[in-house]
Amino acid sequence: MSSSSFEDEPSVASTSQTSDATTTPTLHSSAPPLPAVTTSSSNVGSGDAMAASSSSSSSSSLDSQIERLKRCEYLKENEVKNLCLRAREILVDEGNVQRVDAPVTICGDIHGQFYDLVELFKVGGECPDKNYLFLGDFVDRGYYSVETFLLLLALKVRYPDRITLIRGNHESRQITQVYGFYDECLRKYGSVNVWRYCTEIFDYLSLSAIIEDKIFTVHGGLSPSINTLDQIRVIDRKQEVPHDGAMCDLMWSDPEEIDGWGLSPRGAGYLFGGDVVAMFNERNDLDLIARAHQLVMEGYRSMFNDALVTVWSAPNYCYRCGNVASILELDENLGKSFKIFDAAPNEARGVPVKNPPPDYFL
Amino acid sequence: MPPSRRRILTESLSTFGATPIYSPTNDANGTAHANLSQSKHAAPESAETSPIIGISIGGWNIITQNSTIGDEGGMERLTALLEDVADPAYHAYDDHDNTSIESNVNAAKRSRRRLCPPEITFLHARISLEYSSLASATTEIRFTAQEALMEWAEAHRYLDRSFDSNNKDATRRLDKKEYRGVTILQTVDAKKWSERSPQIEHNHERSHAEFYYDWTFATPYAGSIHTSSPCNHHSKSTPPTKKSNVCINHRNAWGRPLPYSRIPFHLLQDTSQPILLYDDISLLEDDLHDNGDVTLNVKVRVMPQCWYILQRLFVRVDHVCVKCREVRMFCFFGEEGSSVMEEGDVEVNTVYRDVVWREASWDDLLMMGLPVDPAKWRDDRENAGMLASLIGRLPNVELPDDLPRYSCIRLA
Repeated sequence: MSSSSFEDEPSVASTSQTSDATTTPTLHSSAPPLPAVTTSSSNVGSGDAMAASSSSSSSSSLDSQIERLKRCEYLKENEVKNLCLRAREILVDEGNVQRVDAPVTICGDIHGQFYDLVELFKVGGECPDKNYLFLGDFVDRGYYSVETFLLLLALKVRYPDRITLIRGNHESRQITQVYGFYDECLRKYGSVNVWRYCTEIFDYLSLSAIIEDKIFTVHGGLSPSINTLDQIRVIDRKQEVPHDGAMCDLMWSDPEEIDGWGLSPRGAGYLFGGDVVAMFNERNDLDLIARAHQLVMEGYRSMFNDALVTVWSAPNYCYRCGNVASILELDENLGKSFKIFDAAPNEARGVPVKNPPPDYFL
Repeated sequence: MPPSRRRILTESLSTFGATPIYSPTNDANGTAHANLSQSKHAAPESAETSPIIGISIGGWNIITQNSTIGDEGGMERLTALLEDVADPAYHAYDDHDNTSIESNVNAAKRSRRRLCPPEITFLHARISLEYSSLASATTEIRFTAQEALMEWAEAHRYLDRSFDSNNKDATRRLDKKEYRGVTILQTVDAKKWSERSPQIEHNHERSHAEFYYDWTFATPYAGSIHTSSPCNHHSKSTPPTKKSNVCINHRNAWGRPLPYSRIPFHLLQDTSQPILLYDDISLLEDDLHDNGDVTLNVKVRVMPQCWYILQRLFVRVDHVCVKCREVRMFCFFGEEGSSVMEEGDVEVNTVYRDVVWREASWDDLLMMGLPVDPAKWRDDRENAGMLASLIGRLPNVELPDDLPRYSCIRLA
């Protein structure tokens, strides 16, 4: 353990505080190894027997799961499997440009900051009292990606018309193996099965949403291969996030103060300017593009004469950036108001702040 | 606000002739830093309410400051500053300095190089170590994100301006691929993209203002040194006259190279010496748009007779390379002729600096039997022990000519 370990890391000791008999993870030392190539149909599809049993799960058991998740207790592996099967049935019918009615609250990146998600619901109102649209990047970076994603997914299954989840670039097998979600699943469940169930569901998440035909929302941004929303509707989205092409661009590209399109200095990924946004909005009869994907100290940032806004919903990102977060509330007339919020207080996290002793580093 | 890792052994300070330094009053936005000559006279009444931000010991004032990431205005100003540093000829039409690297006429013809600072820049974080003797100058050794990024930006003056090296501006044939360790890498996906993007450009003209810079922020920064005399407050070391020729961070003022390291590591391992002040300050971080990570942090510890600094830059570009650049500084301020000086071969109030750069491509890692799973090279606290041992196994690489591996500077 490094000298810099402190604050709310769920150490072995602290995890046991929140575990009760029903949520204590069991170690599956005999768990099946992850196949070299996972296809979405083989793994979830193999659970036909599970699907039968899942249909018998009542909404009351789902409600109790939601209650447990809200206490930051994670579900049993079997419960996750069932939840994912039920979520798949709902998500498979959603379009690549999912239609959403106003009023609705738009939320940006969460990144596994579970207690800050709880804070978000305190500030914005509980689901299903309020209608929510999350722009992806539920997992990675924070300590509670499992609880964060499962809570959102359970709410989706319970209240499919009151919460919309679209995919971010972190909802990907490859990215989660580097940035934390994979390791967290392994640590909390002793096997990668939960990671497999979740990443298979990622493939079913919608790519974008449109609110009252006027506000287009997406995780990253626009793509030079896409001029109209219909071009998004025909993408075959049920796959791992590709490394290039329209689906990749929607999740990865960034607005920038340039004219036209630019290539990122990294050699992959696009930057798009205000003229591109103006043209896209005009062609598709849109008022606004709302997207997430980039950290902003103030919680949100408007660009291009308010034709585009970035919404960021992870306060004190990575528990050290000191930024505020925001959510964008749209009323029934699409009137905008931003609600700003801070990170949940340490007391709410249930884990005391630990001060490491000074370290005789060399 | 990031959690502070600062630890000060307040109750023991007086035992070792040290005194606390209090935060200046009205430090509401965290921008004001202790002007050290003032902080000596910090009003005792503020001591009740102001937090201790450092200590004064052996003629040194040592303070540390955490900060949040920069706000929109702060980051815009930083970006403008860095773009000026990277491309000074672009605006400096009134600069008739014929030694500048490019004629202003040519600069006006081309588009300006643009840069973006790291997404996570702790804009007001700093470590400052200031030494003043009654008779002579005051010397400050400082570590800040802005300085680190200025040295990074400066290197871009000498680098290629465009992705398309065949279509190079004829006036800039001397552009390099690498300068002082700053180089423009590409991600693993970039090759695929380079085959695809021309097709896109038939339909969409690419912007003229191209973002083409070292997006890994691999700065050669090794701290900065600032000297001023007590009677006039002008900088002695480098009068900043010609805009394009200012030596960023006065790094030419640094002292003489040494044949070997004079930092007494055996003494630094003596845990019977209490750590009076400890801090670990993050200067910048960036997730490289999920292509890896970069972190730049500085640790400091102050013991009763010496202080010690470790700055570390760590860059991981997934499936491309890992880089680690470490700067160590040590200064003994105890009594002349003490046993430490003889055993350790150190002189009093001389700052010793060791610099080591390590680097390996993904192919190198494979050949050396080091992990090629990017997660193993993740720079987070769960992985800190593992990462430190892996870094120790990376091969050293050459340093820039102006950055000696071992050196020292004797303070007046």
